Amino acid sequence: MTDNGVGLATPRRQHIVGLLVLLGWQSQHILRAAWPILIAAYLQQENDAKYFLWALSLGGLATLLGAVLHFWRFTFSVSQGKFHVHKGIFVREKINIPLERVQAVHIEQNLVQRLFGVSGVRVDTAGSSGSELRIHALKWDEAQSLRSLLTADLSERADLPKDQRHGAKTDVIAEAETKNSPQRRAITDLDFRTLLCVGLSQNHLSKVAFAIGGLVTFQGFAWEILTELWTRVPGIWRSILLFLSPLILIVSPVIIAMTSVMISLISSILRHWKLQLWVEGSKAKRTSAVHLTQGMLNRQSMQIPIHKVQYVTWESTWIRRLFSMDTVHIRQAAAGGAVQGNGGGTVEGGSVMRMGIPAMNSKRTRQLELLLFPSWPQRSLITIRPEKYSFWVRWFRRSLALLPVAVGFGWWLGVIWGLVLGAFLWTWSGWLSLKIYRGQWATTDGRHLSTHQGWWFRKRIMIDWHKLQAVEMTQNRIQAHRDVAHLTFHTSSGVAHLRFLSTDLAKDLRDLAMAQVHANRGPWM
Amino acid sequence: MTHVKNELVDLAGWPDLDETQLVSVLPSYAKARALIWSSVTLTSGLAFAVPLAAIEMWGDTHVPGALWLIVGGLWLVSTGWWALEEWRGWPLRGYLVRDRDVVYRRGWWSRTTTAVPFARIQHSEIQQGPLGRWLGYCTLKLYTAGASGANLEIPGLSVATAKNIRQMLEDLNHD
Repeated sequence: MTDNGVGLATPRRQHIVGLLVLLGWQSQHILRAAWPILIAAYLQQENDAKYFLWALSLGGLATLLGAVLHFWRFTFSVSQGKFHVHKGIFVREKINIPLERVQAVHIEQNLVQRLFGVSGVRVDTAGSSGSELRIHALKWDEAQSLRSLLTADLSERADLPKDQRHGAKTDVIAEAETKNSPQRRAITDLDFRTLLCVGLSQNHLSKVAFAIGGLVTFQGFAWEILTELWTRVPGIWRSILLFLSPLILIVSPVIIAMTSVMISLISSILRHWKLQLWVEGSKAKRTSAVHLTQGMLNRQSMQIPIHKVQYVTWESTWIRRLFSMDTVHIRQAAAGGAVQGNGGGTVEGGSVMRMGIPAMNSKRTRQLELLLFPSWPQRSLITIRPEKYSFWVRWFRRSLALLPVAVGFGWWLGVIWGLVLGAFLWTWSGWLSLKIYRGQWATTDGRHLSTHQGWWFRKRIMIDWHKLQAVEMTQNRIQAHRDVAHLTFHTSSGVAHLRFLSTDLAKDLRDLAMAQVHANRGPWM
Repeated sequence: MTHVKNELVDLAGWPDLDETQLVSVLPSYAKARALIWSSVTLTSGLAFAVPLAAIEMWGDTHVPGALWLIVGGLWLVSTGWWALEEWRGWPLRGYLVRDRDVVYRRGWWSRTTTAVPFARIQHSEIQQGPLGRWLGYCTLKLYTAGASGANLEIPGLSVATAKNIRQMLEDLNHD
């Protein structure tokens, strides 16, 4: 077997630190799965905890043994255009993944891995099961070489003898990865000020629960300290403090709000520390990829080949729009169990490969748009808007949902007050429905689709019809009578909806989208 | 910022989907659906009625008439709605295999038409349960990449038709 230049042609094990990381990883999985049992066992135990400790020790020993055996039996190599993995303790598995099936290779470093100077590698394929392979510890340069080998495009190196392809490509990628390479085009280098803005523009409401939880958890401890301090306070100050005590009612929400903002700031700094986003590689050779590195404690290095991008979203809230910074999620083909969720730069639900990029202003957005969808707009755009009927339906549904509130209020305080509140809610729901109706629109150039939705939380989804998996048209009896229909475009990473279109337009768009799928002769994943 | 005009894309010339050409699924599948409806209706009716009747006959308390009315009404409305959906939805249920894609339509109240291109189908499966074996129909399952809900199931096909569609898929993949 010919060596590929970095010693990955022959089967090899991961770095010995991998054993430690694997142990931590397995323990974490076991604890996540069995924490209710462990708590129940702890609470049910007799006075002396020997049985519980025995069970815990046995569990720990089994985990250690499992980790050692897994480490020992796990070998990998790259040769003959395939990524070979041999693993399994009782059932021996030999996995051969053709390199063109590799969707993405991500390099991660948690705190332990950083201490020992190694990194974890995660290889994703778009299969329906077992899509993810994880190597827990490789030296940084070895991890980079492995990623280069796995993500290099074989077809472009057909001019080279077969046994030389890997080594040659490694050199090409290694050269491109140097910062001075002309192929590398930076999109974002997040400075500390922008990072603070990212933290401030987060959804703080989601952190309120954490803040309240934290305050409740530590209230007993804090109460003890306060009681202790109270005994030392002089009498005159006690009177002053008692007089000022109602202020606590005002101060508490401020403390909770400040804690929420602090949590947002800290989590943003930890997640997006030294974020760098750049594009490198050759478009012609299909080696062009979006690269992202970020993280303070857990350092991540992700890359998604541009031709494998399936679905891109831009999300913004009112605060983010103030700072002019959207969050972009770039998704590639997902294996079984795709989910919709929040968060960035991680695998969600075990299978959706999603790169989350904060702080995208209009200039960076246009830059990214041109990179991910180079032919957009391929020709003149048409704007698609839902039928006015959608506004009336939304208003009617909201009014109906709020009717019990007005009726209840009227029952409680009298008919007049019920009517006043009813009129207010009815007007408010109408105003809200109008805002949502106006925020819902889409544009297409006949090949791509860009949908916009939302008012307070705005979301834009962009897809390429060449990469569609299926098109669905839905219409209920009332909608058929009103001559409107919904369209759903399924990609391998998510769906885009066009709701309340006129039936004829929906049928035309469905046929056009299907025709675009059929017209695509190139690879789509 | 790119300046764009707002002109219409010419949609004429694209092959349109003529839903009148849809092919009905096997009548034996209608029998199967009727059987499923009958057994679920009967079982759910008994599951509600028997405990209430037992309390009425042997229990210490009297079951209020309003409870009978609410439970019975809910049962009647839900099973009646389902029956209407099956009865009126049956003539609309159909599939269409074209050169490059397969289309399936179902539903009466909410009608859904799904089109899946052959080029996106990752693998297929023919499933035949005990009811299907008895009545002579099967379900063709077509799986696409990812899990955005784009997988398509066409129930009520004859085994020969399902195998033919699968063979067609294999032939297209080898071309």
